[in-house]
Amino acid sequence: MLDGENKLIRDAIRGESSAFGLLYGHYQPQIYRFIFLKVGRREEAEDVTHQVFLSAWTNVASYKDRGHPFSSWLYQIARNKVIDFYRTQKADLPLESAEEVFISSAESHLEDFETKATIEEVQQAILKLKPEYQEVIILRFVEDLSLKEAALALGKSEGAVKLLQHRAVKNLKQHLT
Amino acid sequence: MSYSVLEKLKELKRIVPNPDYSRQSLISILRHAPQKSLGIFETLLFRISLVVTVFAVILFGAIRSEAPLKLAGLDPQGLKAEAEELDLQLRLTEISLNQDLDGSAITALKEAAQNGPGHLNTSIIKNETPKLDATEYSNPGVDEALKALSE
Repeated sequence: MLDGENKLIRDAIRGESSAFGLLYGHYQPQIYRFIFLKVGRREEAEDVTHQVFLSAWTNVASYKDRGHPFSSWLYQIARNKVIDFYRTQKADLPLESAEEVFISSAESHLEDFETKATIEEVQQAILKLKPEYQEVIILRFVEDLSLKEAALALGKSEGAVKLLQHRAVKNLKQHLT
Repeated sequence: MSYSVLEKLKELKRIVPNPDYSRQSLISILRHAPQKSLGIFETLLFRISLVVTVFAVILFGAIRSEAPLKLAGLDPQGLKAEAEELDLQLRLTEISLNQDLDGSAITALKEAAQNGPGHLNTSIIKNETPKLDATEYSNPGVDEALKALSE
């Protein structure tokens, strides 16, 4: 959670674009990753991420803090936008080449290459999973969300997330080996 | 989960959006105006006005059910007296009409008794038919009674 997040949200609700800009800067990378791992292509991930934050900004007044973190609200919007994306886009688009993926700065070119190869391997394995397995893997093991946070983002109980997680990991291992 | 799989998943955290795209996207997003929400004061004011309106409607309904509607220029006592007078006139004209009808019926029965079945003779009826005028009022008392009622 971002420092002073509640105040930033209140300011954003009042229409202060600078406050929303800070929230965007903090949450946009993780929302982008979530979408990228689910759609598999950089351009599409950028379009969908843009739609998510556009929707969040125009509807920020409807966000109500009822113990749900702001990130959960953003993940819920992202999940809906990905569903819309698959509903409207042509199926079987080829996967993005790993070369096209932007990664945070690496120590060396060799490390950069290895990282991209690993990313491609895991990304392809994740894309073979059911959507709900993908989501639980990304939120719990990529973004390190707690069980409670993941449950809020997915709109499920903690028990249901635990069960999903167990099945998702089992499935992922089969695709990775 | 095995360590290698977990490590591989952690590598995915290094995926980041293109910084140029992120900047352009934010600029584009902030060009749109967010939808305004009602502030605390406006929400409170709206709720208070709603409660007052509902209360006023309930109160008005209760008052109306307790007492009949009172209008300026409406004299309930005058109306009552007028209604009683109308009722009285109605009864008087009714009695007068009944008396007239009774008289006509008695005369007809008397004639029938005196003449016997002769009044049913077809030749007599045929002779009398042209003399009958359907438009002529047989009982002027009915007209008077109707006139009295309409006044």
